[in-house]
Amino acid sequence: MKRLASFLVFLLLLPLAKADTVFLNLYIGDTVDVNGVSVHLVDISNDYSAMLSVNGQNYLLVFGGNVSIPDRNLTIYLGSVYPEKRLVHLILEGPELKLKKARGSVELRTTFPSRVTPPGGSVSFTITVKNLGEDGFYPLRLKLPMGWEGKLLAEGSEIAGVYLGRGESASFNVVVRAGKVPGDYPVVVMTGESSLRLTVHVERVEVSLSADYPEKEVEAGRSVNFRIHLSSTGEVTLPLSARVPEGWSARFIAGSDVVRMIHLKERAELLLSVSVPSDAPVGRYAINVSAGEAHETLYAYVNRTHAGENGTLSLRVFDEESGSFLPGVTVALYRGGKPVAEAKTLSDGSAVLQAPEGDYTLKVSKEAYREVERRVHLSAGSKTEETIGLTRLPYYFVLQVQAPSKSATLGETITYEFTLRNLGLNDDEYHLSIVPPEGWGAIVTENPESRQGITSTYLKSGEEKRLYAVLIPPDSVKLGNYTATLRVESSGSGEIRTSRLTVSLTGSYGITLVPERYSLEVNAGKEKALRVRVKNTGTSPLTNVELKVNAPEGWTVKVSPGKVASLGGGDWATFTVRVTPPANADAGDYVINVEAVSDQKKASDRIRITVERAGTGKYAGIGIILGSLILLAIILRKYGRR
Amino acid sequence: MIGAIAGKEFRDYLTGRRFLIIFSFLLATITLSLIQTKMGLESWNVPGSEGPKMYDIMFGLSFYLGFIGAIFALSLGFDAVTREHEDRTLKVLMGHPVFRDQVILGKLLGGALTLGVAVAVTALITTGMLLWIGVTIDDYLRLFTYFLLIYLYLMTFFTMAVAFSAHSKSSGNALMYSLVMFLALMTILMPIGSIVAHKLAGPKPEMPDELKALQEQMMQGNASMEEMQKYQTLMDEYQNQTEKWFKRYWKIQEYFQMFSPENDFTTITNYVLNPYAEKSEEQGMAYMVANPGENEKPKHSLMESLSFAEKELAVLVGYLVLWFVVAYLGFVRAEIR
Repeated sequence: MKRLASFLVFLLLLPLAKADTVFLNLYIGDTVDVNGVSVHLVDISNDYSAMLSVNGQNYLLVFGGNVSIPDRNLTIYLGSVYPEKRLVHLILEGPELKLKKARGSVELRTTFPSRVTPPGGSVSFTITVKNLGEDGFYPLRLKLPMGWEGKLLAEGSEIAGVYLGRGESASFNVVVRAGKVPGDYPVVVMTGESSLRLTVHVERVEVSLSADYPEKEVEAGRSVNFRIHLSSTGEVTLPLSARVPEGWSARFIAGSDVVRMIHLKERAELLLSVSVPSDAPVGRYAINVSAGEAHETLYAYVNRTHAGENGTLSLRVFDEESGSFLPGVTVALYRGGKPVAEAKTLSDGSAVLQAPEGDYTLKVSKEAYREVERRVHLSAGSKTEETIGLTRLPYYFVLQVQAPSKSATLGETITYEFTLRNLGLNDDEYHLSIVPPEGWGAIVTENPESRQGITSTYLKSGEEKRLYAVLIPPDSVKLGNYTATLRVESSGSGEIRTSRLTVSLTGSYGITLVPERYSLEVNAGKEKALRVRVKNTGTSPLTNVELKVNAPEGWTVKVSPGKVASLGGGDWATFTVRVTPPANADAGDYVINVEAVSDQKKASDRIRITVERAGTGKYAGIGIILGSLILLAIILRKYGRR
Repeated sequence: MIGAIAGKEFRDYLTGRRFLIIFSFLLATITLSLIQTKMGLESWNVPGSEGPKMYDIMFGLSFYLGFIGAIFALSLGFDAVTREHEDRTLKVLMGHPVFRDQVILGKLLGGALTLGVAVAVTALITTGMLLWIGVTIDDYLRLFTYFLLIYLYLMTFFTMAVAFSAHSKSSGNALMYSLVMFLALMTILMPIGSIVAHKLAGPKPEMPDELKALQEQMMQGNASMEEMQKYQTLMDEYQNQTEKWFKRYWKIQEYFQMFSPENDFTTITNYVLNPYAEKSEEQGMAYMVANPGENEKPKHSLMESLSFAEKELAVLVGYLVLWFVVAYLGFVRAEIR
């Protein structure tokens, strides 16, 4: 290129040749005619000396050296020497200098000056060079289009020039690697003043694209694969693209990789994977596939849609430590911070959640386990499976009070049963304390019978312990509601759990009845009275105290008074019960049930009643016995005497 | 004349130590039994329940009355005639212008009077005791009939003893014969009846071999539906035959039982005391279970109740007549030396 540029400069300088001093660049092998004097640069040596041939006479010059030709009034000076560029500056001095390019003494020829190649292909031309001038070395140069590469080759190696005797000829090859862009391009081979123009035709590369089955059926929510065949007439790199309906996605897959471009050499096979959204309606959809200039339209027929359906998430949750499946785990789907679906795992650790299609945050949590969050995508009408491992917290415990709200009567101590469970991974010690109502006593104990308090307890991992909180009200306590706080602190995690213990203190109720007698003799048909005393043994008043008597059928029972409106603590009430057995009652023993009933309590007792047949039966019997004995005695007295 | 002999006999009985001892024993037994009942009632009381009925208590008493009473009757009669022989008073008596039949009738009448007094006293004391205990006597007529029945029953044994006395040479023999006859009628009649019934009723139907095999199969639980039906048919047939056989057996047994005065007495007692007792047609045995709680059972009048025991009454009266005739003939034809 530089050579070409300097040659052009040289040509531009031609009109200036008439000036007194002319600067001239000359390459090895170049010849210039100055006012009829032939100047030829034979060679340049590495010590910056140049061999000039002037009118056939050789001169060896160094920088500043000159050759004078007096009859032509011309002096030639040697300027800068560039051995690497194979170039020298010459300064010519003389009046009316005329520079003329010397006539080419070398002839270049080829039989096939025009060749065809695919883009990027290589072509080779065979060139014959013939020396019509003097013997000498003729350097060869190649002029190529931008981005092309070319070499001059002879006898298997690259050459820079050719040495020819007068009239001799030789052959060499020009090998050119063409560019990528199709078209006709000139390639010029030059030596000295001769040049040969060659033409390289870079042909267009034809790419074809096809699919085995250009239309396929697919269910919405699934993906469909098309096998794409690419072939080309030449080697070419192509971008791949596929245009799909909105919401769909497409990928080209070669082997296991997703690809965007292909370097095609004759033929290749690709997979086009098209994902169809679950809500795509049934219908035929076009997919435009292109590789470079090649296009093809493929079709996907959606045969079943899942629009409006829920997606299903099937979960299994297991304990990462033991590997066993966990039941009772809460699994929930959240979208935008709001819960959408929630479930608990079954005994095999499985749970199934359903929700509309979309992206969700799945939260998996269980007491004593670290919560796990995961992003999941649910597709309408399809099932997504997830397996999640939970890890247990190092320290975790549960405090459960069986009945935190109690009612008790005055004078009682109140015992709350509670359970501590260490659900953490590690053994732990717990500090126990109770804040009782003011003036009350409180202890935590392991045995409800004992009054020996404990302030801490140790639980191994997985263990549970039953403990009792005992509240002891002071003697001066008044009726009402009281609250105490049970506090349990884990020494492992420092976590504190509390439970409110409430007690409602009420008065006590008690009732007893004391009959005057426990057995009663009554004549059939006659009334008999019995006094029954009723006592309120409690501290609070009893209301609506009455006496109910349960007697055999046909008996008449009267009780007075009918009802006592209120009976204070420790007070007595006296009732009179009048019992009348029916006149025809059989003589014998009967039992009546006497029950003292109040709104709050009741008590009962039994009283034996002996019914006599108006007394007459008994006496009559004795009378008859006596009478008969007397009769017997009289008979014996009267007739028994001899 | 009969009256004089009867009066003399009556006096003799009453003054006799035997009468006093055995009658006292009878009275003591009854009294103690009733006192025991009274004590039992007191501890056994169920609140609100009805007291025990008269027939419940009297039924228990009947055993003592039936057994000790019979011995008492025998003791009165066994030496009625032989004593006269042994004391050689008969010749003295025969020396008087009396007929032999007047003597034997007078003796029987005297014994009947004595027994009457004894039964009357027993009845009064029992009634008095019942009243004292507090048992409701709902039907005095039935109680009265009951004591009449006892009287009839005791009279059969008394006449029997007199009959043996008339035919025996000594009192000892008469007592022995009387006791043997009494025991025979009380105890031996039943087993003999059973043996005869077995003989007459023919062999008891045996279970056919086929039925046995089927039953075995059923026990093991591998019988088919058809086999089960066949088993049912055969079993029904077998049970039918067995039932028929038992009916025949009981019918024959019944005749033998009827000749036991003790059995007759028990049967009639049940009907007389318990107005709810049903006549048992199917079997020869009357069920002696009184069931006052079951009010569904109809209450019978006294005449109805007595009509249920016609046969037994007839047999008792028959015995009385038979022994009377035997005694009469025995004494009238006796050779008196």
